Amino acid sequence: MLRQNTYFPLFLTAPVVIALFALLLYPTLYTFYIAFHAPDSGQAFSLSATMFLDLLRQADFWNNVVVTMKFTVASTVVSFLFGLSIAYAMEFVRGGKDFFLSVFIIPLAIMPAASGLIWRTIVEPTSGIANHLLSFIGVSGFSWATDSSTALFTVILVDVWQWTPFCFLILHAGFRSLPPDVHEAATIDGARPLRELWDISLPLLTNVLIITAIFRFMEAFKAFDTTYIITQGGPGSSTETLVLRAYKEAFQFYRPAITSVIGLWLLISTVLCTRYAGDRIAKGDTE
Amino acid sequence: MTHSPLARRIAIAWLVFAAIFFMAPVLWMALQSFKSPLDFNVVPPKILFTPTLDNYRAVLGNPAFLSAFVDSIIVTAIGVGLGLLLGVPFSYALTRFDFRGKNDIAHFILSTKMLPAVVIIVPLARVFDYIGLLDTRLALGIAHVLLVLAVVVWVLRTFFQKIPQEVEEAGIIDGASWFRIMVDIVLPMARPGIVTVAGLAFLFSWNDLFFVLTLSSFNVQTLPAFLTTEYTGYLAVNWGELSAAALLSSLPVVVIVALLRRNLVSGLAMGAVK
Repeated sequence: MLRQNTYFPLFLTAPVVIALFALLLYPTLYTFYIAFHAPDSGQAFSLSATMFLDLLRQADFWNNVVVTMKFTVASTVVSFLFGLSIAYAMEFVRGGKDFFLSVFIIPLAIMPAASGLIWRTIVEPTSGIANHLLSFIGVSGFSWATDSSTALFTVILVDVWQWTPFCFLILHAGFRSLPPDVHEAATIDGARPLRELWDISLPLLTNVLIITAIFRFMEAFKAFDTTYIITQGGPGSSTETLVLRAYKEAFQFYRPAITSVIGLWLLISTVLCTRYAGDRIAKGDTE
Repeated sequence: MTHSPLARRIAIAWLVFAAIFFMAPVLWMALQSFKSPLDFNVVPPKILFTPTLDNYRAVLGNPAFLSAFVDSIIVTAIGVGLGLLLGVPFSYALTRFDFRGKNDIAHFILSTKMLPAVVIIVPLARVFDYIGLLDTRLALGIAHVLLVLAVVVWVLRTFFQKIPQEVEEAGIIDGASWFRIMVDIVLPMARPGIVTVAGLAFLFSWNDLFFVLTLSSFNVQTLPAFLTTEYTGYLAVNWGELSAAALLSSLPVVVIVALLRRNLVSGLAMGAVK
């Protein structure tokens, strides 16, 4: 560490602290204020925790929680494993790495609003290409986004399409960072690729794996674009995540207080995750 | 590497499958963008048809699309500009100096990436309304700081860590001020990193749908909002125009990702891999 100068770091950090206060901290405190002052009921200044707790008694809310968890867990697990598998498969390729790399990052470059709309045309039940292709293998009449039993599956599929490349990129770089003799030593010993992956590469990459999973989880937890565009939370409320519900309450039904209450529950979950994630990432950073 | 031919064959088959999965929707979008309305809503969907440029003509001749493009460019410029202006010096301070609460602020920054924006959006809209900025490009650009700051700070950190301290120490001995050292010595050396985070920040800001839906209504409509409002109803959607507009909207990011491909891999991954 260099010789210290008291004022210079302050000069560098103060603008960020001010910006974060204005954009994040103050609005968060304001959210508390709205949530506990129940302005929707007209009691502008009566501090009450009823709304905050009332929500816990609503079936709707628990449906939102369940949808959010299903979406977040399924999307995280699938895109993580998919990303991991192609990142590892890349290790077996001699030529053409650059081609695969270019193809795999394409979904990252496509605007989520655009890909949501395009996927809608793809999974359109009658004229969409997806059902047409499925008809070749004898599967017919899949309703995709328009049936409450398959809608969640559809938005998870699109989310996996959009975000697997993100997992892939980090994990690919992880594998690249391993010393080349790791693979060689293993193959000389006659280890099968999966054994080698499980016993040698993955343990060396523990930190990368955890950080990738955390980032992916957080991104899926607050996902908005795809679901908003493909299903708007429907049919019924089969794809209505907490974020989507909170958005609708404020900007479609004009009930900002409920948004604030849901927001507080989201905040609590986020703080719990961030504490763990922050520690974990900071640890990886100094290791 | 000395993998068995069988393992390699399985791996390549899996990669080819993945390539098709990632590429097909984009190719389909490209294909659709050349279809005339007559070739749509046909069962089964047409793979072969007479291509037309009408959709691109229609989109590029649509004043709403062009104004959304301009709004997107201005908002992203403000968002990325502010993000770099705040984030670059901050990231440098985090890497080079020790001060109280340093790690707390760093974690706080990370939390901006993790907090669902919907938690703060109602008060944020009220604040912008109060200062008369609601529904302006400036407000949207300022809000985008929340999208880009964490990426700028955390990814750039690893670039700053790689710059040898001796260079800066030499500057101190020469009697240069800290500000001069940062601007004249450190920032030029960190340029590849700054380009990378600028690219990433561009991606996040350009693609944002949530803030534009919530902080803007009539005056500002960036491309994601344009696509959503213009093509959302299920009926009477012109799929050809939609595909052309979607491709054109994604084009700037496609170009940036293609140019920065290698940097993005290392940039995104460096923090995690280190």
